[in-house]
Amino acid sequence: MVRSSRLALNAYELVEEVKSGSISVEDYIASMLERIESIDKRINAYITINHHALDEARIMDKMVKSSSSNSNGYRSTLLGVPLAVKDNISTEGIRTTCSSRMLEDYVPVYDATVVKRLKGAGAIVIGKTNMDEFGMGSTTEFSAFGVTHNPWDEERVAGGSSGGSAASLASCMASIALGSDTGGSVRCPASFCSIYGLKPTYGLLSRYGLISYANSLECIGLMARSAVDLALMLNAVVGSDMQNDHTSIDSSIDIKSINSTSLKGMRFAIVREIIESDAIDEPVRDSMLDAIASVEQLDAVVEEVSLPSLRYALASYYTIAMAEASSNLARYDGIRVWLYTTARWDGME
Amino acid sequence: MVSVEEVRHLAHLARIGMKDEELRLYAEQINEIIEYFNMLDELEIGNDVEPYRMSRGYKEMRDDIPVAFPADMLSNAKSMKGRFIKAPKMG
Repeated sequence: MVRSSRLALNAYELVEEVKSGSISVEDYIASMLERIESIDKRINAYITINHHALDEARIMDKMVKSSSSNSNGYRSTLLGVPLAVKDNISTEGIRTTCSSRMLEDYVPVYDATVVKRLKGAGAIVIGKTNMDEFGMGSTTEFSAFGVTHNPWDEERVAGGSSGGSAASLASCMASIALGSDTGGSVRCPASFCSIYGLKPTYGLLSRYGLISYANSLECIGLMARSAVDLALMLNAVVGSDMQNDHTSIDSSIDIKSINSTSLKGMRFAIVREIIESDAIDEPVRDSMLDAIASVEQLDAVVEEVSLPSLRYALASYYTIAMAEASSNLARYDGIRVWLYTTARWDGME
Repeated sequence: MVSVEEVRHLAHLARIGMKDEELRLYAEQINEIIEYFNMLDELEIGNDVEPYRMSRGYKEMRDDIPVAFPADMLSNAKSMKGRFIKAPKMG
């Protein structure tokens, strides 16, 4: 990865540079688009690029010049930051396919609430990222738009279903990204691509604009290259939403309280049935134990808990997810949503 | 348990063309998923379990006032005839 490049900046660092005038948003976005042009043919993280990104960047630059010391907190916390959006999250005017041929030319006429709020904070949508079709998968191999390769080793998968978002961050083709998580689809690719992923508690973020797969389970998730960036994103998007009545009440994080030298006062739970499971590879277990040790060294309290119902987790997941997928995808029935394929009925009688 | 013939019928109903090897593979996979349902049958959940409820900070429904939908909402209709959307013939 290009560590020395300014395209590797964290969002919070980029925002400081933009506000101080040392980086022009148009310049930054143009470099990022060039990088995508040159390496995405190998990674295949993106399905669609936002053709208006440079125009939006120019508008940002004008805003920065015209407002001298305008730091209106919320409204410019992500000023000029390039955002990759998973292709099951609605973006106004930008094709949204869910990596499916059934939606290959669908263009939403509205932004998802989370996208709207990130744009309101100054983020610029760079493009829509590849995923497992409709979110059903954990490797980003099951896409109608090709496989997304892991930027760290192109022979390996990027994880999924938010693999495109994770890969775009790992290869500096975006600074922050949105994914969705139903049964690990933000956490898995974040781990495979070695970036930060947050699956918020169900109901914390509005799902308005997220194209449904299993709506009792799924959440929009946040992805970035640092914990501070995740906190910035979270603060920009939390809050009740009239369009989605399952959002819980407002909450936000005090950014200044994110202190990397101490986790004093925080409690972590380790699930005994997971850590002792035969299903974990030894190197993975060792990494987990190392992480736990680090967390304890930073003064957090780590407690072991037992979750015997974990035994039924996968069965519950499959039952709920498959039943809901069957309902939510029933609309793609060739009548309400359809492809024009000449071979539609061939060989069926 | 689901048979290959039942999967063939399902595929027909869904208008999805499938080769014989695919039908066999999917029959196997469908049966694995059905096994999961059987696992849940082991559990005894009494009637006194409280369902989990999300808290809501505001009223659930908006007022019943008609709101016109934006004109561009029909931009994704592949073809229109006057006020109607043309859809493929069924049957």
